[in-house]
Amino acid sequence: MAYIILLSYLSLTLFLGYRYARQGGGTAESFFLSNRNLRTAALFFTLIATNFSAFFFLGFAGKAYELGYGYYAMMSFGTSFAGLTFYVVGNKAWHLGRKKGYITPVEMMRGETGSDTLAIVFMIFMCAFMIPFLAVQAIGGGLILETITNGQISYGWGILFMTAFIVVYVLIGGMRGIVVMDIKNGIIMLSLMLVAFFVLTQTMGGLSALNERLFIEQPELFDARADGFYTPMRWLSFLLLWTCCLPAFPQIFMRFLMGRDIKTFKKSTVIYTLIPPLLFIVPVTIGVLGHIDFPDLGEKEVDRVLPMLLSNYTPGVFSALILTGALAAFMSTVDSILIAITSIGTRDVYLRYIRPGADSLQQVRVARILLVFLALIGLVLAWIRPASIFTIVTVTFSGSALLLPVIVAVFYIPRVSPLACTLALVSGEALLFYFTFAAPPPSWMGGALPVLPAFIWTSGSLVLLHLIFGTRIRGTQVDKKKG
Amino acid sequence: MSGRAWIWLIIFTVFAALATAYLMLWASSEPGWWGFPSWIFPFVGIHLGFSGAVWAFTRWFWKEEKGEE
Repeated sequence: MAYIILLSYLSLTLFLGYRYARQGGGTAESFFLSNRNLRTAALFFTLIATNFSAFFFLGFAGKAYELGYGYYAMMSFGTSFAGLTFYVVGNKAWHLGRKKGYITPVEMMRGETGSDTLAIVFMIFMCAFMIPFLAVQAIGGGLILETITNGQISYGWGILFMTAFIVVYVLIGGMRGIVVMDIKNGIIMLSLMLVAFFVLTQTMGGLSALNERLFIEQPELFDARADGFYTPMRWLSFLLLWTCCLPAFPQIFMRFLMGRDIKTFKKSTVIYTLIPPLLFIVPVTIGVLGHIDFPDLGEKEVDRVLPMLLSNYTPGVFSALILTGALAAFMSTVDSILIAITSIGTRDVYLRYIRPGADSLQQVRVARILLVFLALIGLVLAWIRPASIFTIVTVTFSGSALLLPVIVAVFYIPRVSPLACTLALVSGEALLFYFTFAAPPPSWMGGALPVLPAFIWTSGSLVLLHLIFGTRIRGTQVDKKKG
Repeated sequence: MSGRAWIWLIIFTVFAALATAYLMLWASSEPGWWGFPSWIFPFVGIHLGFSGAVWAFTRWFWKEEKGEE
């Protein structure tokens, strides 16, 4: 029965990808940006589905198992706040994209500053940080498939199958197919998560009774101060991390360009801010309640707390159905990362440096080759599965957050100095790596995550260098004109 | 974005951050409705208010930008 559910879901995905791809046309704008004509609901769901990965379905519960209800506040707060940065970045990006025809964020950086160096540095950091994230998603997909089929499909075959499947439907559907898939996947993952919550809390004995019992047995799960994890500095760091990294992800940034009009984008942003506080409590509660049946899960087992509870309290078919929601969350993130990086590779490397005169059909053809290549890299990384992958993910999110000061400066500082942006970004990323891997004394950072000092450095040095170089460059231009 | 828009943006961001940090880090963790820690409910309230503020922000403060265009 689990296989029937799985095959039904995958067949529906392929069918939708094929059907809606026919409507898009073969242009680069259609393949990469779904013709920039999304309405509010489509834009909202594609933002949600792209942003909420398999981590939302499995990782949230796992982390909440470790950290208690405080994890809800930390995740919900930063993710909701990202609605504001979405607006600050997206509003401007939408206008520029519409006016000047930009498709990728790198094109936008180059077009607005006239600097190839800044564009290349920006592109390297933006894409390099997404590849480990892609691998983590593939790892999640392999684990989900292994769990749904009770181990009959092994992890290795799982990542291979899921990667191949995603590549096929992205090749068929392009961004238009992905958006349709995102709407479907968004609805599936949100509704199945709610179903899992209600069924589990009812069969386990009722939400109030379970929470009151846990409060007596493990009150630290309810108190954010209890284990010393949530300090004000760490709180501030996470707030900054989620708020700043999300709009700098290429797959999210490109969605800012897809709205039919600016009102569509504004409405989607406002609705987006409502979702984290209303919905994140669901996986977090499931994770906390996991202590009732599994009081001593190890670090590597915590991400399985939701499937374990499901298999303890519900029939196997129901478990498979709910985990299809996790699969939907995973697929809707991976396909978007793949097409975002592919579009940057095609437009900002192939079209810019290799074949400047390439037409739309050639671009789409190259994008398809790149997409397969990129998926293979993700597959290999997922197969190697380095032990420190979660450290790498933290670094990649932090590294992406440092792109935000550059984006804001390019959008809002008139004639910003590209040299200042480039130097600030490179030095900020170097500082981040130093703080993360060289492990300086904790007192240097006052208990904050490495992203906090690196972000302050990047923003501060950008402004300072702009004041130095920007003035000089303007002076030179004026002098030349005078001459 | 105008200077006034940036000032409003910073004001309600700082307000929401401080209010939420207070609730999470120092407010009571005794079980409230459905047994959830009682700090969660004002937290959700602040967030809903925050969404309203974002709505107001997008609704009114960009009128200036529209005027500029």
